[in-house]
Amino acid sequence: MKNIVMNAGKLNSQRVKEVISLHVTAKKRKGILIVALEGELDHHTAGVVRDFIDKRLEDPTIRNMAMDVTGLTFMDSSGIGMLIGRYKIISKRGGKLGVTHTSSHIDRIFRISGLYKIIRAYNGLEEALNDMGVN
Amino acid sequence: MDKTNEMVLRFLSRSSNESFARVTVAAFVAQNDPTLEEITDIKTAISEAVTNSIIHGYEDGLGYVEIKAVLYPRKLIAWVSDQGKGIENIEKARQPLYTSKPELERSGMGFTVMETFMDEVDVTSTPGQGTIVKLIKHFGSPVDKERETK
Repeated sequence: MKNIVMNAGKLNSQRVKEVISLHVTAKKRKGILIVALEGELDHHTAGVVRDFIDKRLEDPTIRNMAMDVTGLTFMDSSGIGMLIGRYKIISKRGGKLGVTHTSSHIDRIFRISGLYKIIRAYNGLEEALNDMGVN
Repeated sequence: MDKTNEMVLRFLSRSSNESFARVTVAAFVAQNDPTLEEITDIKTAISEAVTNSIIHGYEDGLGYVEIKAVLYPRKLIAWVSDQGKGIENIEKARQPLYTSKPELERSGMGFTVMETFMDEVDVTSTPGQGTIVKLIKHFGSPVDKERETK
């Protein structure tokens, strides 16, 4: 509740934009696409993330994907659909899809949807990269 | 118990309004001193219901989505309604993983998420006329207490 009140108190135009947007960044390391998500993942923003990731997955040397969701503050079932779609692409290449730093909210969404059956949770990016064959 | 507050929010079925809707309801509910988890549960359920109206009710055409929320000392009742195409088979729509739009990468988990995070979910729909999703959340319910101690 405190978070909400704090946000509501700072509702200038810049802050609103910040609250509703989602930032996605990606880098490639030895055939692994490392994606960081920050903000809120819903139907409105899932399409942007999907297009952003799929553009990078056009690179055929990318086999695995690791997602850092440290800054992801919200996710609903639209995020589930987007993640399953990316998993399908990665699994066709024989690769793995991993996630790190899930908050309790994101963790609950993953658990009820069965996402952990196809997306492995790692304790940090290094563990993910090690498992995917880097280092 | 008498209601303590009430609000109605009406907006166009644009996807940019999904976050507007859930943040607004969360801010309204904040006066009841809910836990952060209760707030997140409500935000998620509202987001699911509103997204359903936008994607399925109006199929990305434009119409109005309305949220009525009534607060009681320890309870929220929210109705999310649209005048869209309605749901032919509610039982089927509520099944986990069922989606009428797999081509849009929909997970089919919207109602399951609502049912998991709220205490009660009722769906009323008339094909061709629209859908009303009624969501009830009890604050400080035993379910949440149990979760907190885990």
